[in-house]
Amino acid sequence: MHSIRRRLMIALAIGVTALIAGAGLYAQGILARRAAEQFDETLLGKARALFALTEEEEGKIELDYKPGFLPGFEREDRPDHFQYRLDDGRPLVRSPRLAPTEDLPHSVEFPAEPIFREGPLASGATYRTVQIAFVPRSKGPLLPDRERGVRGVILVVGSDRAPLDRLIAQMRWTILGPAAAAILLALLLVWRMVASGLRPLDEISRQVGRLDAENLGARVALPRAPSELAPIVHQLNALLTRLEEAFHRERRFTGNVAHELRTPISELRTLAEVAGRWPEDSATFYGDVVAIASQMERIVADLLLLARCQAGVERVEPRAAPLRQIVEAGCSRLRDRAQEKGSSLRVEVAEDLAAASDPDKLAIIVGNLLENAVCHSPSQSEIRCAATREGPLVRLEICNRAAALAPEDLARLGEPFWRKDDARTPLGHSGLGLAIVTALAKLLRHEIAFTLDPDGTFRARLSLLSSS
Amino acid sequence: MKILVIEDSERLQRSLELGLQRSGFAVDVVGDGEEGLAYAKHGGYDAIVLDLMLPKLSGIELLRRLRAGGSDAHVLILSAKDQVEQRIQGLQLGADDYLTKPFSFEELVARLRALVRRKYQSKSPVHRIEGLHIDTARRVVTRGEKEVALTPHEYSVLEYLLLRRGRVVNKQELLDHLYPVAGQASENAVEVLIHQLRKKIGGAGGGDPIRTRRGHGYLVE
Repeated sequence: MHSIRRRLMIALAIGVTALIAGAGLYAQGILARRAAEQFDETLLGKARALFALTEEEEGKIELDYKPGFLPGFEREDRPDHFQYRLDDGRPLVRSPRLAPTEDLPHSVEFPAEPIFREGPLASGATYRTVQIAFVPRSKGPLLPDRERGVRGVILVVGSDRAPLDRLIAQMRWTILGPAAAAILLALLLVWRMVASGLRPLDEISRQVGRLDAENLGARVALPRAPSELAPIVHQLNALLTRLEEAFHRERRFTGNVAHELRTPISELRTLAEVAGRWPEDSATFYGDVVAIASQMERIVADLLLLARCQAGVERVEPRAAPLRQIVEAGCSRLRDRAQEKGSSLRVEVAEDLAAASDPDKLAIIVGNLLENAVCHSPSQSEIRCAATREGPLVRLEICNRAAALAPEDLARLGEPFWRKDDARTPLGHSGLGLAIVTALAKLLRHEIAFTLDPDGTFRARLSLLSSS
Repeated sequence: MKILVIEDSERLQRSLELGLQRSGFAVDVVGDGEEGLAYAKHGGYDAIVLDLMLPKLSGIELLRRLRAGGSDAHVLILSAKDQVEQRIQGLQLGADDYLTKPFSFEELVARLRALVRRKYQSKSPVHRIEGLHIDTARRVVTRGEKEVALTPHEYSVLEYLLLRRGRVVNKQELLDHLYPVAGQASENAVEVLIHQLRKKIGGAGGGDPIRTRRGHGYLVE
């Protein structure tokens, strides 16, 4: 698994090390070159000094050198050396400390610019030399050199480069030593900064690690979340909220299923116990037992249908669904119950209206909506079912009075087992009707909307594609 | 003993009514909270079986109003709500007992009898008087080794007089505790019952523990 911390550390360590080491090496290189240039300038200065002391008089070359004049050429330890040659390479004169067997490196040429060389002498020391070529100054009248018949002179001046090497080495350690320390310090700083920068991530990770199904109410709290992490924390908390709601829904659903089954089981058990003790008085209980079995059967059937719809595995057989026929079938099943309450069912659906749907599933939707309307509308009221064509759509609306319903209840209508009244609804209701309507509508790609008018009229609107 | 059952499930109403009646209780049954509250306030019940999820008025609200009105009726909550918090809430509001559905009918009856005993401050289910041995838990009356066969109503009269031991109980009070509100029994029925009871108890060869205070009622000393 990738580690952001490790990758950041490696990248930053490489970057910082390369930067500091590169800067140190560059600075050291510049200074070393400058020192070498300085060394060469000094060497050239010595050569020029000797040049100034060199004169020609009547074809003879004289070096006006006096002991102590240039002490570097006379010291015991690693002295400077010079060597004069004629322009044909024949040696003329050499510095006092240059052994007769030694020659400073030279070339027989007459370049305009000084030539710098390096090479070891017999003593083993490496000398840096500069070769200049010139025509000595004349002590006589100022005539052209040709007319004077004067030859050119090659002067090579050399200095031991050990002091330069020592200086460069010293500079190297002066720069690279602190650079290495700076690298270590920078790495430490990088480590601290990475740790500090990733601390909010660690905190999120720690808090998320503590989350489980038992404490889904907890949220990731990062009071001073960096701007990069704030949206993540926000989204994470939003996700947790949705997850918690889903868990609560799940638990509520499980609890509701248990509760819905517990009631008929309780009825069944009491009926059985009482009938077992006083069988002679319990003949009428058999009808109740059958009713309880039917109720439980319906709960289980509804639950299965709901589960299949929600899982998207309920089979759909799309074809033209005759709306009038479906609505009439639903109404005829409920007309007696509506009449018991003194209520009426009014159908306003044109004969030729048909929707692109699954007629059987649509019949369940319409039946559940109508049943819901009959069950929850007050006595002596009207339940209206109307359908209209609007362009490519058919809108089916079932409306009824629902005085007890509040606008905030609308969002929960599709929730399994949700009831406005905590008490059981009349017999035969599993509390899954509108949940099945919602799930089936989604499965059939129909649009379902529940609204409540200010006067307490509840409207269930189903939008379907017209089959024509 | 007179019991009020407030339960909206008609099927449970039917079985509870029959079972409790056959167990010797006078039973009134109502199906919603509002009606239940009205009955509970004025019915003079020894115990109330209360469902929590009721139409019109929830069981919790009914209990709250009942206690707010000063009623000390013994209430047994009979509910499908089985969470500890729900049971605690019910008991804190003044319920005397809590039974979750599904329940054993025998347990319900036993709990109701315990509630009734508690109401009359009688901890022991067994009473001895005039050579009679009365086990209110088993609803069995014996004299010596011989069981005295009593009908449920006869037994209920004896039990009620025992629970009100030392106090005169008039016929109307006996009627109220023997028959539901909807019952059609008259004071003559009480006289007949007392007569039959005395006959059975006396017929068993012992003394009669029931005293008559003319114009006032009956008494077990």
